[in-house]
Amino acid sequence: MDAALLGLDLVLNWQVLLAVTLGTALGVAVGVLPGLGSVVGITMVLPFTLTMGQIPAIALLLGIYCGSVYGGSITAIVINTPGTPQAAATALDGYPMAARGEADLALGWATAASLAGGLFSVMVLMLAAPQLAAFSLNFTSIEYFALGVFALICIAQVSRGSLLKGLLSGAIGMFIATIGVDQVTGDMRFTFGNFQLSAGISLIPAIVGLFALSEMFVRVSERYAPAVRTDFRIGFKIPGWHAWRPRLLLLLKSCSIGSFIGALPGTGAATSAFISYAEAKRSSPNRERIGKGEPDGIVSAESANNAVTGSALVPTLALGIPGDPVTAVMLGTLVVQGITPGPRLFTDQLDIVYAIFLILIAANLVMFAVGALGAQAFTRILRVPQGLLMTGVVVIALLGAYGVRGNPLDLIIALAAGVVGFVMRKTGFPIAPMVIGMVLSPMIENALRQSLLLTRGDFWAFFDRPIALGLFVLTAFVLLWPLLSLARARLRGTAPPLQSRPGGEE
Amino acid sequence: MLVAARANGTTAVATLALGTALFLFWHTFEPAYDTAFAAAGRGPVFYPRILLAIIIALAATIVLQSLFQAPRGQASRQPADMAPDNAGWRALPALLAAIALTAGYVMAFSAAGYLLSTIVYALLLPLVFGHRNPLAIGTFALSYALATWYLFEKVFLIILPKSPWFAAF
Amino acid sequence: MTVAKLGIAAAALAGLAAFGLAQAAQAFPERPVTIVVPFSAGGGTDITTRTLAAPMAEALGSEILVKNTAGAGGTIGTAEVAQARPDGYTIGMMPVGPMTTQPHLRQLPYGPDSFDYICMAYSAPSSIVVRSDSQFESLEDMVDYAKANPGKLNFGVQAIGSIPHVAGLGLVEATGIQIEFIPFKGSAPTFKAMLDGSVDMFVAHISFLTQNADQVKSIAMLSDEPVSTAPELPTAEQQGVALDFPIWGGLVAPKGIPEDARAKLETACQDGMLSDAFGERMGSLRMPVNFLPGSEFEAFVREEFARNETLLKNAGLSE
Repeated sequence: MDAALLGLDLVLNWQVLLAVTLGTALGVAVGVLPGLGSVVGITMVLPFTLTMGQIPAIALLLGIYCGSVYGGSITAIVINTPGTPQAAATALDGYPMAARGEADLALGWATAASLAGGLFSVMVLMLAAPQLAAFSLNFTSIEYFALGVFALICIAQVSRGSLLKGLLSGAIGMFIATIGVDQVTGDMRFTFGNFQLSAGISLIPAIVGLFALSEMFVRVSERYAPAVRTDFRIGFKIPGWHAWRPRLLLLLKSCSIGSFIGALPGTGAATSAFISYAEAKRSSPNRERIGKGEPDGIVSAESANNAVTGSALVPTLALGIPGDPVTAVMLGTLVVQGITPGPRLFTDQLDIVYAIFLILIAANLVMFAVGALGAQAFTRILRVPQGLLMTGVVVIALLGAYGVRGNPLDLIIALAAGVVGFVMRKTGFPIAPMVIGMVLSPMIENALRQSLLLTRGDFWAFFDRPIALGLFVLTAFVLLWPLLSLARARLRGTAPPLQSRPGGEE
Repeated sequence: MLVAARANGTTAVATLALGTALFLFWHTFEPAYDTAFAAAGRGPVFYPRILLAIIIALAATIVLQSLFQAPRGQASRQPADMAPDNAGWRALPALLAAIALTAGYVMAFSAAGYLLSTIVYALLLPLVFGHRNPLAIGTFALSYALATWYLFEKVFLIILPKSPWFAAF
Repeated sequence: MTVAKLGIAAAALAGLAAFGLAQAAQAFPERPVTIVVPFSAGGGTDITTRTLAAPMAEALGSEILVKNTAGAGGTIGTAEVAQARPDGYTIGMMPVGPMTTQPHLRQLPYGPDSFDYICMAYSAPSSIVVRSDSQFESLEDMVDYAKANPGKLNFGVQAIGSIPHVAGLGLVEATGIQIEFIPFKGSAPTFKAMLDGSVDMFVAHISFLTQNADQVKSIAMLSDEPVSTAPELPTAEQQGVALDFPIWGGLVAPKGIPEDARAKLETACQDGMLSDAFGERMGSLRMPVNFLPGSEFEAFVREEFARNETLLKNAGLSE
């Protein structure tokens, strides 16, 4: 317990508290802006982290990290453009809820779920970091491949109503991600000699186009339609206990999914949000309403993506494997000050570890406060006249798409994705599966081909690994679930129609 | 194509996907992909070919389904944000203007610099939405372009394209 | 048309705000210099560049901006510099990969002739690393094992055609062992694969070795002379295999910049590298400070370019 007190001592001074507050506020700001993520936050603070003390520097970085994962959800809810890829699943229910005029409530659900996810993952980090790190080493390329295939089920789950169209959209997204350099052989694929295209089609310009630009085109195409509602509620509204109580199990499940996936280096918050969302869609009692502005959708996505923040520090601290640029810079800051990551960090330098826990808790609390205060401003955006609002959204979204890589081609990609997204929306092809496909495809392909190299080309050897086998069986089970329950219902002689499948609770 | 005949829109999109996928599948047999150093027997087009085959199968099924299935079942799935027919068609010129304007903006972004191209774009796009208050639009375009430029270039330290005419922007 | 008038007024206003415009031509530099980093913010090259940029700007007497143009193994940003206006205001921090290995892998719109060379800004040795609990204590252990079990060892690669990969190819060529190269995406996943037992070794930057001293050990520094910042670690040369694969980067400008500008940048680069801020940062990662003036840097780049071409050709990666 001495270490905990020492850790508290490290954190309780004005520099650290100021750093965590500013860092979190900055993180929310860069997360809110479409296209920009935590990397931009780092660029801004890098000069300071090189000179400021170690604990304040970590506080600044962790604040940016937590804030940016949450910030993306605000834009997803208010203007249907996920500020970061992690928040893409949040848009699926957040925006319909805001479009009903309940942006205040949607932000309330998202912010509270983010706080719950963040705090849950800090607990996981505190209680089980070394064990979780050791367990994550059971995940080799073969298990990553199996996990990726399992995650593909989300495509089917988010495209209910037009399953074939959703699957096609997802497969196209997966294909688009293969354009550019082949990671395994170094060859160019589908670039047709265009040098700029050799950088590939990256996720952020595609999201900016598919969501923000297509939204603008849709609204232009509807300018003569009956006026959209203007009675948007302003502010921030936390749902009451009666609304939370039936969702506690969902919250716990989503937090667990997020924390577990976050501990696997290289999977990330976007994947965990989609898996968690798909699980809610499969098993929630409200699943029929998910996708139409149901709180379950927001809660599952937002708690899962924020639950990644704490557990992503597990591989960072306990193995020295950073999952993204923010944790990499944080690791660099630790190392420059003479601290070596690895399993021994948790025994030898427990005071630093406790300081990190406390900073994370503080960052989550600040994040909540920033969200609650910011909601006053964010919800007002909806009342800006449509033409100006859409212009502002498109400009800042394109700016973000450009800023990620500084490559003018990304603007053209965003525009093309905007037109594609518009046509898809008008013809009933869902957009979300395409984004999921783009997120998962590189992980699946690289893991598959690495695995084949490791097994010297023997695909059947994949099934010798128990965790991979388990994931394959789970995938088959979830895919066959509708058929299984239908068969069971038939046996009982009460076959329901296919659309309203029996639930996962019984 | 906009809203009128839903089944036709679906058919068109799926046909386009089918045609593109067939072309790309054929393209994967180019000799350029053969000479590549193949890892464990799997070259660069191993995985894309699987995806293209799936796309071809799905797209073909959707095309057939959209042609032969009665459109009645789909009407109920129409999203709520669908505009009534004539309103949708009336907006076609505006829609094309918005796309063209954005395409021009994307080109000008690199050629004429961020600040100048954004001011022009932000002056014109609200017109497409039917805004007619020049003072409001002008104030918005100027202040928004300047504010975002300052935010990115000076605060976020993201270097934006400059025009050939001025040193700073 | 009032809106059009507003547009003109706006453009005029913007014009007034411009500074540095109608000023008489001064000596270089009269406005900020942009350094293009061909990778994302937060990476090793980016941080080194930003660490250097501040003291270098002071020496240059002008602001220095850092622009990240990421993509395609750094080649997009490198091409951007090659094609920039040769006025000295756009230069690039170009690392070994895009400069000397990528051009052999595929057609690129630049080559060593596309640049004027300003200075080498960093050069640190690489090292073959294994897990600290590995049975291999030396290069010899590993080579003996590989010869007894051909094709059994897995060698992790951060990216196809990167220097760690080329170093692995050099190792194969020098010792005649058979190993399987497994490509990952960057150093974190490669390290992960070594910790989970998928791969047995990989080539890492010395700062990686410093960062993860608990979990990895070096079996050979790939340097032709003992490393000043880590003299206790045996080099491959000392173990009888001549392998020298530094990971370096330097400032280059598009071909044809004024010599006056190039010389000023070269001096500023040297002053920046000799500053305390830069030295401390490098020291904490056990990276030596290695400055080379433009002419020597150019000769070095051309030498590496030719050497890597041979290695990649022999491995069948380049035609």
